[in-house]
Amino acid sequence: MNDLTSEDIPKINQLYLLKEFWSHFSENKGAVFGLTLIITFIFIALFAPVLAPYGPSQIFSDSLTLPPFWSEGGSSAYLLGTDDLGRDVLSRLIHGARVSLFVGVSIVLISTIIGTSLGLIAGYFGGKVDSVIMRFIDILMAYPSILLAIIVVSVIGPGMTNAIIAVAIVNIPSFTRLVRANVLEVKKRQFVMAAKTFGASPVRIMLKEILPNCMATLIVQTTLGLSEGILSTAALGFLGLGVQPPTPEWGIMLSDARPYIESSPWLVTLPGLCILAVVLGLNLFGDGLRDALDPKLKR
Amino acid sequence: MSVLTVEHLKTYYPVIGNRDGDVVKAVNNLSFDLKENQTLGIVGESGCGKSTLAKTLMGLESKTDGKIFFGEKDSDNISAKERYQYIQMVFQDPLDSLNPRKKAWEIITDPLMINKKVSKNECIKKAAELMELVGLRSEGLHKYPHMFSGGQRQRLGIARALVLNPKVLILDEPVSALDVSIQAQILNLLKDLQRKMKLSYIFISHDLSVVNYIADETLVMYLGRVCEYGPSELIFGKPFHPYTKTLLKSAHISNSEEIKNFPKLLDTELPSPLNPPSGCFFHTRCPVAKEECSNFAPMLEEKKERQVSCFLE
Repeated sequence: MNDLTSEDIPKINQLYLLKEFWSHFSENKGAVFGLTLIITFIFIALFAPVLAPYGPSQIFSDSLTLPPFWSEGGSSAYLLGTDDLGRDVLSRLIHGARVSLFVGVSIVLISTIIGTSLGLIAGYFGGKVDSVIMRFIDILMAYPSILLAIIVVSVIGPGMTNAIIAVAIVNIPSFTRLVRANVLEVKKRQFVMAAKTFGASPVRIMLKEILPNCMATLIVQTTLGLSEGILSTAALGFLGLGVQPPTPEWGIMLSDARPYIESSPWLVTLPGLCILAVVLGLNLFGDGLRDALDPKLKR
Repeated sequence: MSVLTVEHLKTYYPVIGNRDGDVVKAVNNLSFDLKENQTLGIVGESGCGKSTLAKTLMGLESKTDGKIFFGEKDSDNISAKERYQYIQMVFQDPLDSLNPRKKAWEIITDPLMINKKVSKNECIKKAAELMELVGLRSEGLHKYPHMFSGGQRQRLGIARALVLNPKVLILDEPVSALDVSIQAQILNLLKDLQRKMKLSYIFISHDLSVVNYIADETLVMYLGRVCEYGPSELIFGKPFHPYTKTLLKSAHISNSEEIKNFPKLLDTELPSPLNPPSGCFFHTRCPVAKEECSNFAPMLEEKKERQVSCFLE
């Protein structure tokens, strides 16, 4: 055997890996567009107080339901118009990005961690453990998701934190089922058995051998879960059970504007467009991320 | 010196959904002895218990009865960690047995990271050494398994099995997923490594020509039992058991007229291991079976310098 000096061994270059990842990712134009959208919204959310021309709850009683500036009767002081209480729509949308992204990320974080752990345990151990976990998941799935969220909120009370908990619980089953199905497939493969032949513990096998092979689908599910979370929270807000007014949340803005859908359509359209843009961006980004992270698709 | 001794090993699987306590006798009273620097070939049809034997030796399946000795030590009194460092395994399908999400160096040094405290740099260095040893260039350290060819992947699998410096390697059909030209390279690599590192191999295969090439001793298995066990040149040159003869005949590797003209099997299907035949397990297919074969099971006896279980003289 030749003696190798450390110079012979290629060093891991983190920068190089990042460059490699980016070159794969950037081939997908849709993904880059999605990423741009998300970064824009994250930027807006982070610097909301600086970017917004007014406070989100500041009321201008002399200018109620003004249209955006390009319409007849619009004012350049309120670029996207004002709502029925005389609050600046642009400022509320900017602050709303903050609330919606925070809520969405919290929901996905909670439901991914719990859902994935349950799925890993159920799939890996099988048998009774699997039955118990999956029956519990079946119970959660037996209820229509919004109904279940309403049940949870009525038990623990309305409010932003409770809405997050409720929607997170509702989102758990999709993660658990997805991960479990993946685990059942992956655990039959020989590298899992190989890991057992040199003494890897179940936890190590689950986290280091199986989980990385579930990442592709999990990432897509996470981005979907993020958009679903934002939508569900909006629905709860609409029913008065979620985030409470006057918090500038897009869902609440949407539902508040419902009576004025014919007379002041921008009040419904603009928050709707924001939700659409975030959800679209997340989905495009998720797809691109999945392709770039899958080593098999690399050339 | 013996590095692995197996005495009357039995591995039974319970039959699911059967309350009578029925079992599948996957490995049934198997004994053999593996010497240092030697290769024991294990041949037999699919379903004869070869893989169960491998799993039992690795400790992935618990044995029902019998003894396994790793050198002097009884497998019952050995810690799992000691076992991993004594015996390792190379798998059949190199693509399936390497985690597609790990880089070559991580794959090779996984056993090291689990069993010993080593730093990342030490791991990479060790992986580079091993890659050199199995004939891979160290540029591949940071590549993923799919970026290697089939033969290179199997070299990675061998490198991983060697990282803990084991004395015994179980090679479970290590070349049957590879092209014939690559098979020869891997077999020669295995022979080289055996010489350099004083390894002992258990070479499981259904490919008789490969076993003939690499094995010092050969054990022919049928439904979990030993048919014939002895030096390879005897088993392949002057086979005794009718099952060995039919295997050699169907593999077209023997030049002897006796083998070429040996009668065909009576039944091409392997009997169900759930409900094995009475007497000698092979009598339902044996072209030279006599009446006593269906009533009495032959003992494993020393005949013509090898162990055989057959009533023929």
